[in-house]
Amino acid sequence: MTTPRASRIALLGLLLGGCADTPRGLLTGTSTPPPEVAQACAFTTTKCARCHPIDRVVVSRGIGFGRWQMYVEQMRLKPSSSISPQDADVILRCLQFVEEACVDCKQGRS
Amino acid sequence: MVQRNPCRPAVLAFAAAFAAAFAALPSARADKDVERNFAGSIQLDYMAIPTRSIGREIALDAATAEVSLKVTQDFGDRLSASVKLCVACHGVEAGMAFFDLRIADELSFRVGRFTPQFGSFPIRHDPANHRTSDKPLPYDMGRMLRLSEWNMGILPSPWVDNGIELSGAHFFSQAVQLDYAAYAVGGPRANSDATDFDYKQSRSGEAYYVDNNSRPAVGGQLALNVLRGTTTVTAGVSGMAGTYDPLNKLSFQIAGAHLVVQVSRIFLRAEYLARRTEMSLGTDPAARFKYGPGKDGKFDPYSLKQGFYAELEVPLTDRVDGVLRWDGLRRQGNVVQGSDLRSDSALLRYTVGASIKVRGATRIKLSAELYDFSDFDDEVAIHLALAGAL
Repeated sequence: MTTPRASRIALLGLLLGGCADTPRGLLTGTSTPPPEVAQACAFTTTKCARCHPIDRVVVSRGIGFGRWQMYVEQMRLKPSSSISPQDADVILRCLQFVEEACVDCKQGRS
Repeated sequence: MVQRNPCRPAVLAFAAAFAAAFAALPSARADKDVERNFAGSIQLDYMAIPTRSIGREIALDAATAEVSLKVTQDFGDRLSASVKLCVACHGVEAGMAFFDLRIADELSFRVGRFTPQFGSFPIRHDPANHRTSDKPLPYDMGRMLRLSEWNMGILPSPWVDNGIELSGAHFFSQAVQLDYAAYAVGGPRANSDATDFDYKQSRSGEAYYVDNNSRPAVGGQLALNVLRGTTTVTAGVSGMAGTYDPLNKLSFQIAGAHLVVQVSRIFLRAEYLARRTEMSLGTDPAARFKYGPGKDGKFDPYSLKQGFYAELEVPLTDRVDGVLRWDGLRRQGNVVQGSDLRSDSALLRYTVGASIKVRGATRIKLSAELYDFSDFDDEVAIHLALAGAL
């Protein structure tokens, strides 16, 4: 019987999905950001999501601003990144705030 | 008569330019300039084929794991090295082992083992970076049904090869970005009597990780990006050409075009790839091939394999993304005796899927696929995957 197997797979998926916690964004766990930083982080989310889920950035919070500079430069240089040098500055403005304002953000735990 | 390699001057020019640029780098680096990053991802996918009692007869079904571990080290602002290990159905492979040297945004060199730029999907080939469990058919690397009959997609992703790549990007304004890339790599491989690529030879230590015919394959890409707020439109063309047999007689050409439209978090992606592959006719083509010669009495030595996908990705809630995908393959040309394909075979696939954020960068991927084969019974495949990244 193959149909029950498909049903079991779908059910397992739903069960696992039910374990999901509240989704986190770049600013989760930080103090209230200034409007321009909130705007920069919304912009960052759009730019990063072009190639990968923003979750990959969220879980890396706490690595330090120096490493973010390296990451953002790497990503900017990816083909069709659509990240200009000015865009990179905006993205780093967001990440700098996150690094300073999210005191509980540790890599792998945020 | 000595046969000259037409690609050699270009490769030598590449290498000379890289060496000159490398030599021009400042030799001393303060420790504070050295940064190292680690990234990794994992996907465990279970594929069920409800239309079959034993899915393994037509696919690599059931559970498969894909793991990647990547380390990048920056040596100052212009030079970096990356190494990535990939574990999947084929075992442990080096997915990356290269140096990047950036002279300016408009000029970078990549040397080593890497994925040359072709199309749009390969930049997102990591399972943690795309929403479905498997890849679009033109880039399939073994998860499609009837993979043996079709010999997978057109350019399996990630296509990892040794070589050198020159690339760059220029912003004409904040709204217009132009990317380019040109490369020379070892290229695909097969035996002298081949009718198609033999992908195992590209990942076989016994065959060595070297070019099999002393002739690099060359290729390039050009892409235009137009940005306006949170909307981006990217259109590009790609190409690759060379020979793939040890005697340097069987040629191939691959062409591709891609279009990506991003409106905030909504994506519409479309790509088309076509590969023209020269087949070895052998000493007795009448006995070797399923179909006879053409009206001119000659056997056509070429096959044409085309593929496409169109994919819509939409965020449904804060943690659920929905995916609709339509993709397909078509192969035209003679086939060897015993092949289950015909001289004109097609496959269309319809996929509906969801990617559910669980915790951190961990996601569940659920998708259902309907395969519509021209030469076989239709099939259904269901995927359930757990994917994570750090």
